Amino acid sequence: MIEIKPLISVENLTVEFPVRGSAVRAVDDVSFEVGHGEIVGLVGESASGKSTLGLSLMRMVPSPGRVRARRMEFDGRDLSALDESQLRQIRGSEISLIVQDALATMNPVTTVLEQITEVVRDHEGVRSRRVLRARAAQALRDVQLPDVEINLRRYPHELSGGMQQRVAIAQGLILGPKLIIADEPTTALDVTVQAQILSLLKQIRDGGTSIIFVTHDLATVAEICDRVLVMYAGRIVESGTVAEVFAEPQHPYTQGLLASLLPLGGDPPKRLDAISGQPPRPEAWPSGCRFHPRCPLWKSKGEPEICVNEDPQPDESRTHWAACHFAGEGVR
Amino acid sequence: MLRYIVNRLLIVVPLLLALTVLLFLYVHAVPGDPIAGMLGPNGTPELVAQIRADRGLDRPLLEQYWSWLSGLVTGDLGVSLISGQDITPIVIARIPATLQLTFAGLFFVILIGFPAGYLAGKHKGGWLDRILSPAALIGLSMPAFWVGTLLILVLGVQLRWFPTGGYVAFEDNAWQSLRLTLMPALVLGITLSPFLARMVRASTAELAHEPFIVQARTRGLLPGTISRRYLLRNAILPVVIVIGMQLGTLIGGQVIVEQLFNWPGVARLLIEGAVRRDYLLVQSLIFVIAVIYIVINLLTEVVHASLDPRVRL
Ligand code: SF4
Repeated sequence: MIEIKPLISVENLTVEFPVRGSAVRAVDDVSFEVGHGEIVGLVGESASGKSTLGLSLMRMVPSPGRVRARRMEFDGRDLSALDESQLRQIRGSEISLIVQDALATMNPVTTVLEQITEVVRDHEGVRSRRVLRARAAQALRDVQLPDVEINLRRYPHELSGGMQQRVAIAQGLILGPKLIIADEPTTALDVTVQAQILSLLKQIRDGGTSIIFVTHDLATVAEICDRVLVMYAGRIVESGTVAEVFAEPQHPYTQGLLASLLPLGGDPPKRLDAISGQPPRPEAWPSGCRFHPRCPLWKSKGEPEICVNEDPQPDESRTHWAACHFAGEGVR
Repeated sequence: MLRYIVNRLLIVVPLLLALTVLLFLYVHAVPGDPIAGMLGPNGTPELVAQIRADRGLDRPLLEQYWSWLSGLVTGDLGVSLISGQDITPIVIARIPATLQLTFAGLFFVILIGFPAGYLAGKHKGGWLDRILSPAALIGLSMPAFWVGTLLILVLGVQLRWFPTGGYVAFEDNAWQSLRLTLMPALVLGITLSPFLARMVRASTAELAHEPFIVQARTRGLLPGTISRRYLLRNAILPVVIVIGMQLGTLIGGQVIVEQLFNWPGVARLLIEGAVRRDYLLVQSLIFVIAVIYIVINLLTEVVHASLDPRVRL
């Protein structure tokens, strides 16, 4: 069997923000891989570090944040060894970021045409207006935007939310990136448009592009992802294929997330308050297993010391693993 | 756009009407008889009464107001109480000089204020910002007459680079006209640009946190593209608004500067009229200035709308 190298492989990635003399770790010692042409869901609550993790793959965390990693290999290159101008060449052309609020990410005073073509100009040095226009029109047709010629002349605020998101995706796709980081790209949209965008992302995946799909919504993960990484308090706490994780969640946190999902057409879940309490803040991650203050399994087991004192280590030799001392035991 | 302008005018008309009433009452409430003042010791009561009748000052106030107002509507600003000349041609003769100074002043306001504010905001906390921000504060606290006197003393009297005052029409002698414009315009520029600079600095610094600027970087755009198309084009937007906001200050500054540099503009005419208690002149001039103010304000809104596609008039 030939071993196919993953598109991106990250080992021991940490993102630190200096806060009043000490360093706060928004993402703490995370390792994972994303293969070619797969959609990996990155799931977590707000402040779990999932968005920061996405940005850190472009080495773009907001200053004064710092990204450290033992290894950060993207398509055969070491991302952590590149300088700013080399990173610039990768950003937008090989790795694209699509975020939730498309309108806020577009320059309000330039037209759709300008927005889309400026990446082509800056990355490929194309100057011809005719060529740029044709490229932009094609990119918009690729994302199934209607009335391409009219919409090219429009300003971002003149488009509907769904159209804005399509334009944002077209911007991200026009240079044929190998990896798209989609940070809650459908959260702000209504259900029909959401479904359209999700199916568009699947088509993009089928074209060979890998996608990291950052979300707090497990339902969309089930719909489009191949694998899933569950993040809690700056760590990945469970990893596996969507089928494995949804059929047999091993981490109490994942179990809680799944329990709070409304099963389609089935009975409402028995416990909507599956995970009580607030997610912790990066300034004060709990000791040991960071989930222990909220962990129902820990409580049902009589609050064992090990969860408070020892950090559960994942068994990364398996395809499906959870970072929990009692992985798989769960109170289901 | 047209509908917007029409709507605005509909609001403006009653406002202007109220202004005429206020102006008329205010000016007439000022003590002292202008005719008696003009004639001085030579004014026999008979002569004063005759001239008063001649200017229509003996009519009831309401009638005087009405004839003034109906004149305004047709563009007739009335007759100077002192000289008996029609005011309209006098004002029209002064307008080119005032416009020349206004635009030259605005030119310096933008030339000094925008780059300073933009660069300070773009590199907030940097060395340039740390020089420019206190400089703007000092600039804000310098009165126009003081800056003007200083310029006259240094550039005019000491160095003899520029004439200390006066006016030559541009079409008569362009070079001399520009030389004469420079100092008064510079005074307006120096005293009014700090406010613009501060506004531009604040808005530019805020831009740095806008998601679209962050996103531009994740798209690997060239730094030049981000500066020009993202920062600069968005930083220009507040300039027009600030200038609209500062019109009042600009007109105020104009009064001082025209007086100081012996500049025969509308503002100076106003002072001359006030000194001689030519209240019809003062009244009409303030009305004209109010109309100009409203027109320019409307213009800045139109310009702003043309620069910012999100604004629909
Ligand atoms: S390690 Fe302990 S506290 Fe953490 S999830 Fe597992 S059972 Fe809960």
